[in-house]
Amino acid sequence: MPTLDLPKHLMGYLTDMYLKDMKPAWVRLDASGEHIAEMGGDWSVYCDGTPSIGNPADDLNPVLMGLFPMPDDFRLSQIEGDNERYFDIDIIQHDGCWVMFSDVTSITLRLQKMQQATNSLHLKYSRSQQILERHVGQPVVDKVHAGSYTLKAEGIRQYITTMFIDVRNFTVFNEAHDAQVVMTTINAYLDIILDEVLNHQGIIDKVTGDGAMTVFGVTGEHKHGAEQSAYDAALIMMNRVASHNQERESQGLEAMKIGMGIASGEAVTGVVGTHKRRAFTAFGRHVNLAARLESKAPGGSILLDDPTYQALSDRKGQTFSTVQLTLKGIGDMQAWRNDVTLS
Amino acid sequence: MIQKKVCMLGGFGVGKTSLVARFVHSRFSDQYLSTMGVKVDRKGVDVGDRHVNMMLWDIYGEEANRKVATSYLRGTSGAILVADGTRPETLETTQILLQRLQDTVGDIPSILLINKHDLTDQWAVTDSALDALQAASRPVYLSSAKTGEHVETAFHTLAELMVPS
Repeated sequence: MPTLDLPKHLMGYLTDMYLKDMKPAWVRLDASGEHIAEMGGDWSVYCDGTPSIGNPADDLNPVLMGLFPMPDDFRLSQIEGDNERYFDIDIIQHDGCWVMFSDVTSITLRLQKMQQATNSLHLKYSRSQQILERHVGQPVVDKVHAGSYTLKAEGIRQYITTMFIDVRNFTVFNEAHDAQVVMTTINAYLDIILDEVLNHQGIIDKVTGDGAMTVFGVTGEHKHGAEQSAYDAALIMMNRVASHNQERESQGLEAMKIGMGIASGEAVTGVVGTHKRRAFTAFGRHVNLAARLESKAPGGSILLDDPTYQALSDRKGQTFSTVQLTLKGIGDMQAWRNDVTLS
Repeated sequence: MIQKKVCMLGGFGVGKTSLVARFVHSRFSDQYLSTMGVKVDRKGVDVGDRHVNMMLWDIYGEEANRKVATSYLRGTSGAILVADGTRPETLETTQILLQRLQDTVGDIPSILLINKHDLTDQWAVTDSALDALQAASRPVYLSSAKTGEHVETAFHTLAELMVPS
């Protein structure tokens, strides 16, 4: 058997430094490999009293139950005892079966502090990521982490599609019900709305209480264009809200429709606010236009500006009509109206 | 009396220790304390007219750089796989651990708990993902060590699977 090339006194020094605190205790098993034939060491840490010769080896500790006879070398590490101490059990085959217990409390507690810090950090990171994803969607979070998208204070000039969504008649509902009912109800509608925005790689710029401002195209994740993504999201939202309304009506509750305005154009996107409180947003003429279109869209309808309408590669079999509108701060204009046919 | 070794398996921070504490000691703490190695607890349950002593091995959570050693799995009769419903990625960890368990001890009874169901606002397991999990042969429960939801049921179900009548 190889041995360390160390003078006896140095070996003794190392033994004192590392092994003494481990309080090793051992048993050798009989020929059956199941009963104690011989023992030694300090057993006070590992069990009440001293093991008895002839007793089953798995009586030494519950974790050994059913393990004997053991044909191979085997190790169970960092077993937490009832006395708040940790120990390792090594089973060693050498002219019979030997079982050794060693106290590893000190090193385990040190490792636990590190493990605890690492795990806690990971959990906090995971929670932060989840919150961020809820605001801007996973594709944006992935891009931010990969460094391929940065939210710059000076903003980025880009072509995007903006969609405003509003739950109609909410003010009336708000006046007629308890605040808790109002909160629960609006959250059910917003769940559908925001879910579809994120499902279509949109970003939720802001939730406005009974609606939302959302933008598409900020991260360039749209295979058929940001306009198409916004429109697809709008149609699915309309269908899901209609199902939700059916369910509410079957329970004798008020149903509320949604109206939407979609416009596309150049905008500057970035962060606004101070170092302590910042928020993503988009500025641009078409952003105001989308807001004005939404204000004119009846429940169940979508109003689109011409650039958005022209960019759609798939209108999903929906019928559009042109409408002449006079919009506050914008003036007279022609828009496209789709009274959504539910699928 | 029948003794059965049961392993609690899952990623870190999914609530394995809390589930055992709820089942064995009827208590819950919000404080997270990372499990090192293994802690063994015991609790007896009745299955028909038989008494089963469940030895619950609460094993440290699997991580990318710290895999659960197969030595802990030897002699296991059943497993409770635990995922965190607010972290869907922990469901993948249960699948990895299930495979390791099967490679080590064969196909033994197991159940899946998707824990932290009380955290409704943070819940992130979709209905379709849940449907897919429930289509597999093993029982799946949405549980909460905090409220006790489905904790007793889950352990009893596993006991029944390990000691069929």
